[in-house]
Amino acid sequence: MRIPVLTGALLGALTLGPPALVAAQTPAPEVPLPSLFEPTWRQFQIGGRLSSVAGDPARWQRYEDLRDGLLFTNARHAREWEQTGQLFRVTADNVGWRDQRFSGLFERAGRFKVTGLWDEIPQFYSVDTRTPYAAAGGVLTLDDATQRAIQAGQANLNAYVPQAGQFNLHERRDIGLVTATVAPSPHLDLSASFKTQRHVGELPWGASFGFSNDVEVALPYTSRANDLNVGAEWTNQKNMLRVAYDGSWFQNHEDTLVWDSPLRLDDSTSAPGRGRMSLWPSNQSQTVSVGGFSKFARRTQATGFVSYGVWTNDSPLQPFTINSALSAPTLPRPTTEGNAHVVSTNIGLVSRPLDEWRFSTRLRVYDFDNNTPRASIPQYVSYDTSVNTSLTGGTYVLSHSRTTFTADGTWTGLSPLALGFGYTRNHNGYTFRTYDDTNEDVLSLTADAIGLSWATIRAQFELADRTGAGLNEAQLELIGEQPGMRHYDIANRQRKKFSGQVEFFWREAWSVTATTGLGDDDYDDTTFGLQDTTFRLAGLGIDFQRPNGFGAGGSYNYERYAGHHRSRSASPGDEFTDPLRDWTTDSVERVHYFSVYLTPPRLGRNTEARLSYDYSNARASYVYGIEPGSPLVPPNQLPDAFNKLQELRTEVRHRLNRRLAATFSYTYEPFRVYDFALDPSVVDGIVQPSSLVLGYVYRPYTTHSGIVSLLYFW
Amino acid sequence: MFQTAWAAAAQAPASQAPPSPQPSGYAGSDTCVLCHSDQEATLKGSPHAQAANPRSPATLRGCESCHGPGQAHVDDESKGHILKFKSVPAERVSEACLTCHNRGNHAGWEGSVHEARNLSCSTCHSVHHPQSAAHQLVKATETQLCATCHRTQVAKTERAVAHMPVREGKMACTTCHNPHGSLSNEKALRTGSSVAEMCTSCHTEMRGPVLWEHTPVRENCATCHDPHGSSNDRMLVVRQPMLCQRCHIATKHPSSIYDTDEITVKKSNRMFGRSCVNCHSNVHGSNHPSGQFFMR
Repeated sequence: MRIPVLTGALLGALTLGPPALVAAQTPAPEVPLPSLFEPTWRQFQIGGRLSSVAGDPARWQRYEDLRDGLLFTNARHAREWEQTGQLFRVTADNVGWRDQRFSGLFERAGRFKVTGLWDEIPQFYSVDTRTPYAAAGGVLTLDDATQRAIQAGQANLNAYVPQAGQFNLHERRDIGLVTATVAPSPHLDLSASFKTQRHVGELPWGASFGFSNDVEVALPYTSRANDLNVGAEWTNQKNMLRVAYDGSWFQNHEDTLVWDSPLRLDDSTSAPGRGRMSLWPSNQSQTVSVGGFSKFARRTQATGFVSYGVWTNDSPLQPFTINSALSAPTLPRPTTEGNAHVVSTNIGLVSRPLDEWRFSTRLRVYDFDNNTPRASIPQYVSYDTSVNTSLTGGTYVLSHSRTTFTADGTWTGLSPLALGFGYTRNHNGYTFRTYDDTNEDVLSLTADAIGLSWATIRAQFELADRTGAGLNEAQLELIGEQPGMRHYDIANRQRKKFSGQVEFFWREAWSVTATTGLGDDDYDDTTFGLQDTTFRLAGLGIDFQRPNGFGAGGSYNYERYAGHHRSRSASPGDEFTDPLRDWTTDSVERVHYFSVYLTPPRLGRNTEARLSYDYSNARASYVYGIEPGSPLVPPNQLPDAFNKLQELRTEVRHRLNRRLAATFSYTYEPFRVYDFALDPSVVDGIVQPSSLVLGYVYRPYTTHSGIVSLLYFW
Repeated sequence: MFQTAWAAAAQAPASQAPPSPQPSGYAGSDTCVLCHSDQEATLKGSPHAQAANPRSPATLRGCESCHGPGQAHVDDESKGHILKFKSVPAERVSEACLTCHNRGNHAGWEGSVHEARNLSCSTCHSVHHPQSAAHQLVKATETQLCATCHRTQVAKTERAVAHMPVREGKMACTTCHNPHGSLSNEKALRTGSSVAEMCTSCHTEMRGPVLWEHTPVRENCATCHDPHGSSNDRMLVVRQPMLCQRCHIATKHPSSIYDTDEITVKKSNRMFGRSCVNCHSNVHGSNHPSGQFFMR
């Protein structure tokens, strides 16, 4: 546990206060001032955060910078010129911290609007990961002498332990965004936006030389993505037409990883001294689109959209291997020549020819046409270790298409009850998959009652049947898979789903909500692979609100997800067809989620408080089963994995005068986790029998965090 | 005469023209606020009261821009003949709002999932009594509003591995979804024309195309990931190696049982840490000529 000390500067700021604040004090107002929890556009908050963390501070912070120190945040300023309709707004949050955020807006209502955003989003993985690797760009090196000693059999992986320095594993995404909209006439909008994202830092990454020599490294990562959008939209009472261009350029500045082998220094024909892999290649996409709608008689509207995009990646291809002792095959071509054309069409028609009837149809066509030339690669280098013969002889160029037709109708003859029915036909086409096509028929029924003063009711039932065509089992056998295996995303499937929700209101103060959901996916024709999945949901929520600001409520949700999967543990030969070698996995995850909140009425004249508590408890089990008389070793079942997150938040705000308020917030957050693959009892050091890792694990934490601050209004 | 926001709007310099006489059937906002001054007060400072905005109801017909011509209502002792949003069918409510809000984010409303389920604009928005700081929502925050119906999805953001950074408040449901419907995409997704295009609009490194592609990556990220949150590393729908083994049961290691002994006794690198991805680290696709199995 660490308990840092509040800085002297913060204490000074809190006890003395700026002279301007004192001077700004005015007599107490006669009418109640707005709630201190209502955001205003003329305020800032200054204070300090003090936290106690037992356990993993990185997982606690995750996407926020929650270290101790001075805070300047929640700053808002707006100026409005009512006569001209001009508005200027700026915001600043967490200034100076690694999750700082600034935004700005200037608009003349109905004429133009310009906005800007700068947002930094960190991601903290671990503060106590360790690695013996030294990084220089995308090259990770180990101590040569240690590599040589291990190669000579004079040492083992433990020799790296004293060389492994502790470091903070984290990355960050910085986002800058500028948008502009101009309305030169009441019917026309011209818009443009530019977004740039810089992604920098390190992330845990597998860099393997094979099963007996696996490495986990801190992958250096620096990339930038720039997105440009320009568009024009013309609208009148009956029609809309929009044209747009979207361009996106992703540039990976570290698109290659080179890393030393911990087991040897020198290349040989059976093992390399270092490895090299490609990382995400730089790419770009350009898309033009046209969309619009037109309204006709009998409350009928036709909507259309079509876009055409070109995605490219022409990054240089790396050599087959960095291992100088191997005779590497010749590259099929110098660059990727990746190129795909994407056409998307979406046409819809909605009509209400009679008061009580609504009909709609929609046709959606999406075609991803991959024009990347097939690369002939009869041989490749596995793990930079050995030259192997490819089973496929080269790349398989994946394309796919989707055509979805939907027709549905709604009858409101028992208003406010709306009864709906619909039919959807999904047709998907694939290249290089076990099915050439899949077709799915979906029937749906809905019942919704919205607008009653005492209740809202929603219910939906869905029945779907998906069937594949053009089965190609030979393709599975080519790559050593069981011919009876089916990929669950395209396998024949029967689906049943129901979801329902009822919300009751009483005297505009109480609301009670009950929800339920259940569904099954059955893959009856699948011999191997996912056999079925089910889900069950139930929830209950109660809310109470009073006009004086008092509010309280709570909700409970239960979720259960289950799946059943079948496999066969077999080597080529007789085992491959032996059903006694079949095994199954039954996975079940149960989640309990509980949440309460309390918004008490103002305490006295100047004090307000908020309280909330959230509890999420998820537990998953994976149970293996084998056939009676199976030659397989009976499995030693896995322990359940679980994660339990609680969060208690309370905040009290006290108005000192019209311009100044003191705030205190406290957060208690215990997190308990057990993941059998990422538990400290399993990954108990950076050296494992066949691996050199970072020691990145899932660890629990308990935090107490408080913020004391002043909130100033003007 | 009351000096109202509507009246002020009619005199705003933006129009630079004297207020035109009321057309037939219209009573004028000054007449409305004689009885409904409380409703008029709720609009102050809101977009609907922007006097200088040529597209605002304040510069059009004031109250009657939304509620329709009011002279018959004024003349009717039973106070009918006016559009009361709480007592008309959903499509009538939306029809009134769409008179102006028919562009930009709202252009895809007709035919959207929410429209088809008989929701109206006022299901989520309140012009006169909004509870939120932005967008005039009926709940205090966007997440609270969406959780009214989509509780399961919101609850997933509290799992061990949630989408960055929703729980922290820098992203919200509408970062990815447009609740008013999408002209281009399914599931009311805001960007692109497929689930994968939506995801790669931020995760651009995964966009490709690359030399060696992994089919579920190319076709639908949600085959393996739950974008709302999950109990499993990297928001996977099921933890590894079980997820991978649902499709890969080839001879040798893909079809092996990975039980407790693999963790505690053998310390198998096919099980601990990121399991399959310890070696197949380029699982989203590889641009390396030796990347057939996503290991380079």
